[in-house]
Amino acid sequence: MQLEINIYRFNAETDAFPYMQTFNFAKPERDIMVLELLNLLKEQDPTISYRRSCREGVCGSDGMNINGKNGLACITPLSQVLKGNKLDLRPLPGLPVIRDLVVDMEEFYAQYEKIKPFLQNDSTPPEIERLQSPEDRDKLDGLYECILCACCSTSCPSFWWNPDKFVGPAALLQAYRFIADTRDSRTEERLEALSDPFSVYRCHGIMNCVSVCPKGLNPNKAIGNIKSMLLKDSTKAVEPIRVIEQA
Amino acid sequence: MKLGRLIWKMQRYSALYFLFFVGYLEYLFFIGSYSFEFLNNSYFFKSCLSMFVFLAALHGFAGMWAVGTDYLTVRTLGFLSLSLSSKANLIRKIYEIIFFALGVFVTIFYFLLIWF
Repeated sequence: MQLEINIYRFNAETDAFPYMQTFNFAKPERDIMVLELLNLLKEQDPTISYRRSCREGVCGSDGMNINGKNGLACITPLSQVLKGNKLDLRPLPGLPVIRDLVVDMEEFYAQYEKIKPFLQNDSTPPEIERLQSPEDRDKLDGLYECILCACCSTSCPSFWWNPDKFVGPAALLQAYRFIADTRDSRTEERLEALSDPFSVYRCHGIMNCVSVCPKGLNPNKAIGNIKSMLLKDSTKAVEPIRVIEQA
Repeated sequence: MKLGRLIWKMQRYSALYFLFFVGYLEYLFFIGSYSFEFLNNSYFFKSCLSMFVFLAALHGFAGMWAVGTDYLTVRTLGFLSLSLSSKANLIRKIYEIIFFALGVFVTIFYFLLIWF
């Protein structure tokens, strides 16, 4: 059986416009991952460009749009995404394309940088480490696991329209990761930085971020918690976020 | 109060008021007081209706402003055409002036209609 694989192609040096290139490929006998398929196609056409590294869903390099839904190619089985015998592979939507499936992540990282993704505490550090109770540590579950693959932010229309103003689900999840951390002492400052009409409030809760997260995280819940804290003027972190079990 | 929170609260609280107002209208309908004479002579109803008009204008303004800042930007209009994109800020300002003026006009018109 033949698979019809359509890949988004664009090379700024030679192409005026992007186009879809179709490859016909014999369906593999075993169920392979989309990344494996891309590697096989690259043997046919070495000019196909995409990012990849760990091939096990840890590095977050190979985020792409697979048959209309963002995901990591390395942990997406072909059988799960094939529509008939067709597979469309496009770059992550909303970000400028550098070449083929490779996007420019600058806007995404700029938002990540904006939320100051590091622990801030002005008090004198203890001799060994800043301790935390098991209950306080539990509040970070479902937050720290983010691998910054950008699947969530690039599936969010609010991020498409205002990538320079709306922080986006990935960075907001990380913002809440530090807001909820009892070892961080800059909670009020962090909330203050998010209190304009765009940074958080542009999230309308359509939950695309939740449906595409390859790690099963819930950025929408984190954003809801940030909004609650902004509304209450509270510096107390609200209920912890749990990792959603993947089917 | 921060602007983001102010707009968010204003939209939610006004939506709650709309729910209350619809409930009030249904109540009037079921008790049989849904006549022009009653409504025209009830200061409570007129006050509630005026509040509804005012909050609807505010609610609409926030919504229309959000639509403008989403879809009438240099980036978003750039998807359609580069020449439109270069005039995006001007187009958005004109759009904001039009819906603001329209909102003020409609609100004043309804206030006059309700009270005079």
